[in-house]
Amino acid sequence: MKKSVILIIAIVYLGSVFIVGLLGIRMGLYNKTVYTEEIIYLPNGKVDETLSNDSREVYRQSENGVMEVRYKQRHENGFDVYITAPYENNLSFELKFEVRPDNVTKHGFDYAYDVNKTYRTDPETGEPIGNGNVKFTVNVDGNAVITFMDMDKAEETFDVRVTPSDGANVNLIVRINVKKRTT
Amino acid sequence: MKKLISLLLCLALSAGIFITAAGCEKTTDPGSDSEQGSSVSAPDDSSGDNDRNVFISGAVQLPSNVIAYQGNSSVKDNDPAPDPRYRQTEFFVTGRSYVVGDDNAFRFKPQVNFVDDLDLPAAAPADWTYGYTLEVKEGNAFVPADETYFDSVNNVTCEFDFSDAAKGKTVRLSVTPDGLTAAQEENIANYTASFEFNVVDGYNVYSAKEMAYMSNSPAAIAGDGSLKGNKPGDHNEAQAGWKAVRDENGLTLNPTDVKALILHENITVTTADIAQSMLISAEEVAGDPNAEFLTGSLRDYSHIGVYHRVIAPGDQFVIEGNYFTLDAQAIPVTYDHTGLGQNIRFNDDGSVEESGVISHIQLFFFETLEYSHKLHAIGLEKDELNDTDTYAAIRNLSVIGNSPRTEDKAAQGGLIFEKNDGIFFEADNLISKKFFITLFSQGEGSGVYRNVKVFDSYNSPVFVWGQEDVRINNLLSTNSGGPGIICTMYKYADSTIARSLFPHIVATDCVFDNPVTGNEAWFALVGASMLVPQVQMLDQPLKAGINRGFLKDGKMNIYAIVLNDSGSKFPTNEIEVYVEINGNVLDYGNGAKEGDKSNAGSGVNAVEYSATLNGTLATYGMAGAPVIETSGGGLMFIDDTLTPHYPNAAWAPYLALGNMLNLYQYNSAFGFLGVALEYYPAQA
Repeated sequence: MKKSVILIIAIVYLGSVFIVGLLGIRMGLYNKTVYTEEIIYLPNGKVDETLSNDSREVYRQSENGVMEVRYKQRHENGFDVYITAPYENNLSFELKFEVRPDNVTKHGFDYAYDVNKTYRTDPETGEPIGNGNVKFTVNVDGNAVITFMDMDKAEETFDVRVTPSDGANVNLIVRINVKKRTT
Repeated sequence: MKKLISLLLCLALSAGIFITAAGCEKTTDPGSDSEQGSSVSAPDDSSGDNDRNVFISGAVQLPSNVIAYQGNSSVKDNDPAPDPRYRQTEFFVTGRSYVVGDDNAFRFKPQVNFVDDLDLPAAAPADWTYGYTLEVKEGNAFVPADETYFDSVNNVTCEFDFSDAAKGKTVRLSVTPDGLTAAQEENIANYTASFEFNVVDGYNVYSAKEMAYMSNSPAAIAGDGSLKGNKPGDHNEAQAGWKAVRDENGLTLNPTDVKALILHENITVTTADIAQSMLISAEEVAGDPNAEFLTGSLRDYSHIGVYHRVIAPGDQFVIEGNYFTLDAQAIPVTYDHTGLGQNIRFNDDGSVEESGVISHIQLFFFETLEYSHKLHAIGLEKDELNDTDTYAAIRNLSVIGNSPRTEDKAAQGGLIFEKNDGIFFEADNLISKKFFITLFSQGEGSGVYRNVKVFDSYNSPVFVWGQEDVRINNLLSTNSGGPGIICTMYKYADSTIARSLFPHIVATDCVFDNPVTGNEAWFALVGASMLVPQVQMLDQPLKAGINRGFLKDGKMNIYAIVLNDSGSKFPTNEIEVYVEINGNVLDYGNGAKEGDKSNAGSGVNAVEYSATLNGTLATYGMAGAPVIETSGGGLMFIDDTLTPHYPNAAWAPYLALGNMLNLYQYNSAFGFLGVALEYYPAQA
């Protein structure tokens, strides 16, 4: 090996020791688990400044009349996001969320809702159970999809409580309110 | 001209700004009258505007906490964990019935969607009333129940206080808001919230303050001052401290009369919710150079607990979680080990530079002061207990502590979740995160742990200090910094010191998945770091001889460590402990005889480290050498050249069998020590 190569290796080696010692770099034996601290709802519409104020942000989807309201502090009636829309068959909402911090160890969400409002069928007979009109699914991205279908009642309200899959003690509640248009 | 045009443009712009600022708002049609409830003037709403009409719009829903219960108690199919047992929010047992107590009111107020004339959510009118019906289950059907099932009902706040008549019954409560329109009345089911639950003797908890009913610490107990961390007067302080919490919050019941605490929401416990006597005061550390960091830290009691429950013979106490979460992350750690502030060094920012603290303090401490049941309950189930047995349980609860698996030395002072001493204790269907130790059994009595998940703990999920009946079924532990089970016996030659206790542990269907390098913080804390290289070296002859071992990618998975806690006093005491893990038996002299290989090939029978074995080893100049057994029945020891030797050549082939390896040795620091490790298959 050439002397110059040996010299370079020695310089790099000693330099590394110096830099690591100076900066105090410490190699961790394992990555500490990072838990979710906050869940953020990602709205779909555009901001409606006329209805927004210090306590809420209002978003509208002009093409279908859907209005989303995101509250900066949880509304006293117990939800963080309020979505209202006129009913049409198979009216569907995709709820998207993200978490803080970005580097949580375990990603994913759990969803809780009133199962009596969901469309259910008997696993043996296939016949509908109850009078639920809401279909709740989770797509491959982990987002919740809520579909209102065959609704014979005039109106329906459906809350979704979102919690992180890492079990952190945080949650976000979305309320969806749909009503049939009256003629 | 140009100036004129500019002036006109400025005026037009100003006019536009003025009009916008004046707040022209678009009004929306609130909908047809046939679908609206009665309109009332709301006192206030979220928009800050007053004097709007308020309507019921949309269907009624179950209360938010009941929806949360439905989610918490369900299977989490969308969790991508390859093994469902590792799902951190899914309980082992899902779908258990909801429980309600009869000591105080149960809150069941449906969620009614009130909106204003902008169709935006409005505050629920404070005086809105609700109608209700109650049914009781008889056989498979629900029949109307009368008002005798209630001590009182408030139809505005929807608080239902059940009477003794309801205790032990399954009921269905249905609540509907008043003031519905005729059209809404025609579809009344859409505006009614119904819920089925069991009524028991207990107190309904909605805030952390109400957890104060758990503590019934006596003024003093025998032995105060001789128990580690306790000094005379500590119980008196705890009693007074918790009485102050109850008095400040109008909690007037006698805590001993409260037989169960039943959660109806996630509960977060902070220092403001606990007896202040649990915290180090500024006065007692005044003048200490670390006073600012020590002030407000937690005391380190081994025998009191943040919440302390003393159970009389024949009595019981239950914490029913209803699948909610008890969050104790905000409880501070302790810096108190051999004395406050000793063995600890802080950085300028309050972080811990060095620490010799080992936490003894537990969130929940259950004990009895009378041991009339002492041997009766061993091996029994709850329904077999007699009138003098004591019983405590924690069920269907997710708990979060303040001591995750970390290199942060402050976590050494974190909380033990529960400690039980001398009682029949049951933990059933728990999820635990971030506790120093989760389940701690000590003294006489029985500890029955079922359906428990333990994640991210600094130390071990299970610690047994002498208890002679510990049954663990369906426990999963992963990402713990210490062994799956730590077990110590204590045997005193001098019978006047204390009772001797020889633990008996049976663990079935358990997963201990905690690979460690041995350099983790826990090992340094307990002084085991120096032992690790010695243990790891023993893997080499196994790999060389039979291509099996207990190291995988440089890590070992320690199922259990068994110690003689009286070693510091009587270091030559051999271990007398029975530990069975998933059918693999570690019988340290607690029934097995030396060289008893009648079950060779079916389980590990630990060999007593007796004079005979020692004599055998001495012929190799290796008295005290580590002995290796496999759960397949093999036995060998290794000398200081890492050469294996076989006391009985007939057992040698069994070394290649089994899935657990037991390492038994004598060490001057620990005395006799047993280490049970996962025994990995042959490497490809």
